[in-house]
Amino acid sequence: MTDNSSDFELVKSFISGDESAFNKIISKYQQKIYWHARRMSGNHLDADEIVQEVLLVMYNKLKDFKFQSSLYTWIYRITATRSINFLKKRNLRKIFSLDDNEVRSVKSGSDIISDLEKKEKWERLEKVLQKISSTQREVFIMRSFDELSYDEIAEITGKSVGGLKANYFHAMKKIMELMKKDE
Amino acid sequence: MSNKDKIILYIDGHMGRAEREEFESDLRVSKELSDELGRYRDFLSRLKELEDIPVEEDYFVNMAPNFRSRLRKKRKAGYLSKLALGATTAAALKIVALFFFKENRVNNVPVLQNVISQMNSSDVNSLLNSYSDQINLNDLTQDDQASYDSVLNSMIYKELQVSPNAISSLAGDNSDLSTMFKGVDQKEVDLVYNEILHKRIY
Repeated sequence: MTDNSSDFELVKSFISGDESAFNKIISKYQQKIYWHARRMSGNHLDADEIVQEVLLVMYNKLKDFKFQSSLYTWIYRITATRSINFLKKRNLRKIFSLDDNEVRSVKSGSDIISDLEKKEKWERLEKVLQKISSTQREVFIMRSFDELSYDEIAEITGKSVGGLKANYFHAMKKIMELMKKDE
Repeated sequence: MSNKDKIILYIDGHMGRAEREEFESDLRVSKELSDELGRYRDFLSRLKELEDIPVEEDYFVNMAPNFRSRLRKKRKAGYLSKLALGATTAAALKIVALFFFKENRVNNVPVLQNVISQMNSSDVNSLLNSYSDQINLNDLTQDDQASYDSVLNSMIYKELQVSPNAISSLAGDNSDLSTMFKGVDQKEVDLVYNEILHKRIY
């Protein structure tokens, strides 16, 4: 995982008033935050919104962080929670037709993925991931991309290991079926 | 359990030892199962390729400065909205205070005097009786006494055709009615009233 002693120093510096320490924390974890948000939300615009929310929560709550878990786990927990909350809000907006998801995905022409071939593969996977439930997607992403153990995922999400295994199992099954249909 | 289910459990490392050995034995004899496992593994390795996707670096380089800029805007907006909320709340409280705590300055005494002057003898009698039963002059405040004095005066004038000055003269020391009645209990007041009324009527 990550270097806990340097995280400790960064947090200590930030609490003492060193704002640049927070910028260093952002640099260290921004990719992890972004990609989890991106995989959960399915497009760059929504991922960016989630990232900004996560950074704001981190900024406001870091002074209360007591190192009961690693900083990475703490940040990941915020990212996972904010992502799920964002998706719930998005679904509600969809139901009340307040947001046009089609427009949002079209706007992802402002995407930051520069490799076109990988972008095409990624977009295929994104479409498939969006077809499974957010709870299944979450554990699938953490297991397949971040290679977290079930115990680590349980610590982040607060869910039981058994439940997580079941969600992963169903996610994997559904994704394989959808990818097969797509081919 | 279907083959797909077994494959997922096998890939995820969640088969017990005996179960794993049985599955691996099935893999050796079943090409279909082996091909199916291959597809799953292929899918997972393609996922791995998508772990590190080249992106425009500007986005991540600018993430911290963008966050700072949004934080400043949010703080500014927060101050303005708090200011607006404070001003609105103060105005609302003022309006509520003016409405609810404004003293009712309507003096009902002239109204009462008007009403009493239009009443007949029996009405005034019953009013006098209920008046003496319910109100203790000694409990009245200075202001209330002034009000009641004028109501009382109205009643006395109406029924007895005796002016307040005349009553004061009777008392001998030009005291007002409330001073006169100080120390006098309700029964005594009633007796006096009744005596006066009796004399008036009979």
